[in-house]
Amino acid sequence: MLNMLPTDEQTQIIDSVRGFLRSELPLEQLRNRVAPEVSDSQWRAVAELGIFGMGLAESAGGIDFGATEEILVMRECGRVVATPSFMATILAAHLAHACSQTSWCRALISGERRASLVIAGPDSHAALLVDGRDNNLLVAIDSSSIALFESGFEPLRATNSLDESITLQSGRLDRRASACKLPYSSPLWLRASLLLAAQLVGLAEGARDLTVDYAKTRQQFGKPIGAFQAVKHRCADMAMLAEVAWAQTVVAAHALDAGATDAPLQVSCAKLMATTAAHRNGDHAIQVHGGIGYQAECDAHHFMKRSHVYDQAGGNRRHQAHSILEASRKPQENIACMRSMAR
Amino acid sequence: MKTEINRADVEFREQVRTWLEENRPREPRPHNDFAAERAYDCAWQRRQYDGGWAGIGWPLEYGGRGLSLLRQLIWFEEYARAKCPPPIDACWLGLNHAGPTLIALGTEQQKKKHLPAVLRGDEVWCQGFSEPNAGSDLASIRTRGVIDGDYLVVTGQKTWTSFAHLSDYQELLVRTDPSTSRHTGLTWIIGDMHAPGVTVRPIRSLTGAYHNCEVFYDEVRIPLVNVVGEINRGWSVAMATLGFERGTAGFGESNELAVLLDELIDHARTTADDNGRPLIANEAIARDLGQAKAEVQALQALNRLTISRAEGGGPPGAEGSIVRLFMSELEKSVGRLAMEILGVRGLNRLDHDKWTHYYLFSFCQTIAGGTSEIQRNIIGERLLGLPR
Repeated sequence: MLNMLPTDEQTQIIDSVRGFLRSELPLEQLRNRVAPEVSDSQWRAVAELGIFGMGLAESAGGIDFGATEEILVMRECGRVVATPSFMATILAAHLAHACSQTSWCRALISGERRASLVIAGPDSHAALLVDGRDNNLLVAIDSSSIALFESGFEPLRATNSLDESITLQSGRLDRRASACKLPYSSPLWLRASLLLAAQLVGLAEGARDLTVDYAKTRQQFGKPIGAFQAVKHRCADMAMLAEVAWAQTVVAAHALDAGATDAPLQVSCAKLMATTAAHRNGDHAIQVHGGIGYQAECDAHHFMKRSHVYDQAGGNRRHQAHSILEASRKPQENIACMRSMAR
Repeated sequence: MKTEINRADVEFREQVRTWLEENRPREPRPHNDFAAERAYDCAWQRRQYDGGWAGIGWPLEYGGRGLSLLRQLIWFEEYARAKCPPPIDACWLGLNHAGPTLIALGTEQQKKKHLPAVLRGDEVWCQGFSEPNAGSDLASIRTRGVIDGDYLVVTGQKTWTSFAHLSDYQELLVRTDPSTSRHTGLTWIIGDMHAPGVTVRPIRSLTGAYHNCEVFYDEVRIPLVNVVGEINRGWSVAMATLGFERGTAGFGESNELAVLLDELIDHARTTADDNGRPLIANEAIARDLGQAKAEVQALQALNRLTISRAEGGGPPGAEGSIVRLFMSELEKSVGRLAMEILGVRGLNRLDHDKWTHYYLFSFCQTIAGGTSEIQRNIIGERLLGLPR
């Protein structure tokens, strides 16, 4: 049975997460120069939605859903340009489970403890801690590995974040301090790329919706600008880019959940398509808004800026293009792969 | 949202693969010899029918297999993989366009007469929508249909009609109410291409092949029982037809594209540049090929999304315009990438015509079935609710 559309149960997940984010952490809150931190009560409320242990087994304190459900949550986070710490906490719970840090795992799932994302550059000096906070666990992702740290990040340089909706600390990550480290192409590394892809699709969709709403109401030459094909066609391209990237992200999630041999290829394609969609839609959003689109008080620029953050986390577009060619070198034996899935 | 692959689908794929390997035509499709082209296409279709592979997703009562759209997609995946003849041939329109329209909206008599014949390769169909002054503005068509007793008498002209010179029947859209000038007053009728008064003039396209035609009608008498839907209600039937063209009808082409791109990647791996290095070692080429591969995979994913929607019932909606826009623009960009990778060799069609022909034909794809601009209008207005 092939079903790419959400089931009733999955629609409930989408609705509850979307409802919470729209009321508690809406896009508009980013208009303050410094984005407000998610409060303890808000964080606990998110934990009560079940998102931090969603993809973990019940025996580990999770809900026993899969990557297929996690991407639904991540897409909603992308739409409101939410903190990357939600994704980091989901991944930290998986990593803690993988390295048998049971108490961390439970604390992450319950919302008592949070995790922050570290975007690790090619050398250990270039690590960037995103939305860091005392006592947070750290999930470091680069193009060759994903690792969990309780400590080991030493801030070195001042930063001035391209994306003002997050805080950045630049420093050194002591790789020997990792509690758990898994290589490129391992299921958890792929999961990180997939969750980034889902958030990038969310960015592309958020940009699309903001832009389409504006094109319906903003009047020039005596009519809504969305009536002009030059604007309408940009909006249509935004819809196409978001839909195509989402379709690929769903296929990648299904492949990962099924343990299919083509999961690395599908996930890389999803990250690349989603990054492209978020970049382009971020651009379209600013352009269609015109003069106001260039101003900080307009929400349009957040999508473009965050898309660069997620592009650089894990493997960036250039890296993904090479991974895709590498993965397609291996014969994609549909039948062999599907046999193992059908078992 | 869960894809469960069952054993029956896997076995189906294995059966398809085995059969195609044993039965696919080995000889190339003839070129610019109309009778030979038709004979080749129909013989191949007949072989598929005899093997039990025609109309996989069509209802059993009209000669189909009554299987899921996923099975139909699996067929096309294997079809491309086995390097079977190009999916867009003389039989394509009947199978992917006219057939699905009749299944959805035809009368019992029309279905019984035409559907099994299409599956057997006995009937070749063409479209009859565009006119010299009604291209993107399809609703402005002027070819007249006048009711005379039990007949509709048709006079006027159609153009860009693919395979009209090879066809027996036509999806003919005519104006039956001259007091209106737009979407109302049109009728969709099954036209007989052999009827007296029909004249077909093939046109040479930019690929060098005779693919499209002009069709002239001089008081052509068509029985009213051939009307699909109702008199003066043909616009909604035409939209259903185009919905198929923009949605499920692209399965064959998208899989053909997937195989061609893999071949292009192999070509870039095994062919040296001027400095003796493999072409793929060039950063720009590698990046473009990786991007193209991601886009082709995403097109496959989009086809699966289309199936999920279609299994919910009803003819495809405006989402089909996203599929059509993405697929046709992708065909053109991959074709252009192929030309770049072939370099000077791409200029001589005796060397790599599979690629040069693909590239040239891709210019048809962003126009046929509604131009990219029309698809964007549909997405903007019908999916996003932007004002007209």
